[in-house]
Amino acid sequence: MKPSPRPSPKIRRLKKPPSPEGQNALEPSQPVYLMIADTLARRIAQGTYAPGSRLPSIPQLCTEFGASPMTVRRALAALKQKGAVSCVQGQGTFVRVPDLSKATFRLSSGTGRWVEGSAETRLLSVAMDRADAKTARILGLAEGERVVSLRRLVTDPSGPLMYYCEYVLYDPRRPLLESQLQPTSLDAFLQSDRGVRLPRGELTVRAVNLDQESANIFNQPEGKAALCLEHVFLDAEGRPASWGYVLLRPDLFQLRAQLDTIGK
Amino acid sequence: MSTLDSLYLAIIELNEALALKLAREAVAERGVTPQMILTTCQQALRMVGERYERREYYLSALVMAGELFNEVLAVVQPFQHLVETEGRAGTVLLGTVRGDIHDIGKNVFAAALRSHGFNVIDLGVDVPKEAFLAETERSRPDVICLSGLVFAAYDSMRAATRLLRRHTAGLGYRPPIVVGGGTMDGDICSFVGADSWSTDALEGVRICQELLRTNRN
Ligand code: B12
Repeated sequence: MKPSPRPSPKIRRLKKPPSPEGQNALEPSQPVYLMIADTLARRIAQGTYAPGSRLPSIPQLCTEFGASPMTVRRALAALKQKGAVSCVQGQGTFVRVPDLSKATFRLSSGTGRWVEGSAETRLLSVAMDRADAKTARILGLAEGERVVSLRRLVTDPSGPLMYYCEYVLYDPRRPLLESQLQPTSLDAFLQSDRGVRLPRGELTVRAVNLDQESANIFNQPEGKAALCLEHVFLDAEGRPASWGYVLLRPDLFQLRAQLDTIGK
Repeated sequence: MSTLDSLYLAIIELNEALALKLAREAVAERGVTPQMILTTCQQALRMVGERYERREYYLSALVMAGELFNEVLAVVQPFQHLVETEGRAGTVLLGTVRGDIHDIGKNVFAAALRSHGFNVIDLGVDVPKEAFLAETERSRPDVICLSGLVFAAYDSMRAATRLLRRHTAGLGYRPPIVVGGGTMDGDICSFVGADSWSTDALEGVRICQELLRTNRN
């Protein structure tokens, strides 16, 4: 994962602006309304305007950008078209709560160190386990059935970065464990710059509180909030072959969602 | 077909429920010693390994076979102590070294040692060299056995051996060090600086017995 050289806008620029006059946004001199839309989009992505919150009013935006109400309205229409905001008649414009299943994720480390080759993945254990209720539901097993559990730790000289647990369907006649042991399975999952798009519902992001085990591993207080990425890997037939989660060291990682409704 | 034959087949087929049921029957059977059950398991494990080589089985089969071995061991062990451990053969400190998590073979070797009357202290997998030293200070084993299969394990074995040797004076004795695992050979053994090596559990037991004999004389 290479850190981007510049602070890239987290929402891609519109390819086809919803322009009644048929203006072309790809012209070098960008219309003012698109520049405003971009700025607002960036603020939304950065959390300056939180999901669900109301954007400043049109007069306020006019003042801030020194633009006419017409231009500001057009900017808001562009954002609405992207799915970034919604307008409620008489109440204003609100930041949409992102639908995570439609987002493409980029994971960015605060430092970028761990991708520079100084990071290593250590396999902590591979063991026979039994499906708990959640594993059983995801993998389509009965509770208590055998699964193989994998635990891995990605570390760099500063210490542990990510703690990775995976539950693989137990089938002695298929190389399911082999494919999970390939370093690329984890890499592909975390390939941030390209952004991995998994089928709908296959990737979820949650904030969790570190339990005792993971708190020990990260050398952080128990109960501390951390990001947890859960995913399901499918086999060639599209059936779930494994699921797992990656816990990220709380002080190092931020998650940025790139809404992918643009240009559709 | 005898219970042991059925057990052998159940393990090869990785039929967990059946294998455990048969193991329980076998321990209760007259004329069947714990040692016979474990030997049966080891032979079955070897067959699972062969199926893996032939690509009839994949990795998870080996992990399951290792688990089955441990489960059968748990069934057998309570009986084993009644029979065999009278003349304690000696204490062996065992572990898979840092950077390596293979433990199927180590567990087989531990079981073989125990069934020959050794007291085994098993430190588990991915064991740092300092842990071997600390445990040696604490329990003063007669032999130290290092298990490992991956390349990285050889460096860890060497580091552990050096650390232990540097503390010979402090320990007040020089415990023999034996290294083992499927990928071991004489060159690696001399690279590590160990006293002996093996790729086979039973041979490993004989080496330990031999080392104890020469040390006692
Ligand atoms: C099963 C297995 C695994 C399982 C292990 C499960 C477990 N809980 O142990 C899993 C899937 C986890 C695994 C992981 C990996 N594995 Co692996 N694995 C094997 C495999 C297929 C079988 C090993 C085994 O259990 N054999 C059966 C037991 C009974 O035999 P044994 O270990 O040799 O033990 C016997 C004797 O050696 C002796 N013995 C054992 N220890 C000792 C100690 C002493 C002192 C003595 C005297 C005797 C003794 O007693 C046993 C009975 O006789 C081997 C290939 C093979 N065919 O051997 C590869 C193999 C060992 N693995 C290998 C590799 C590379 C890996 C991975 C790095 C793969 C990866 N990309 O992640 C990881 C390692 C991660 C790590 N840090 O350890 C390589 C090692 C090559 C090398 N020299 O570096 C091998 C040889 C495969 C190969 N040809 O490439 N592996």
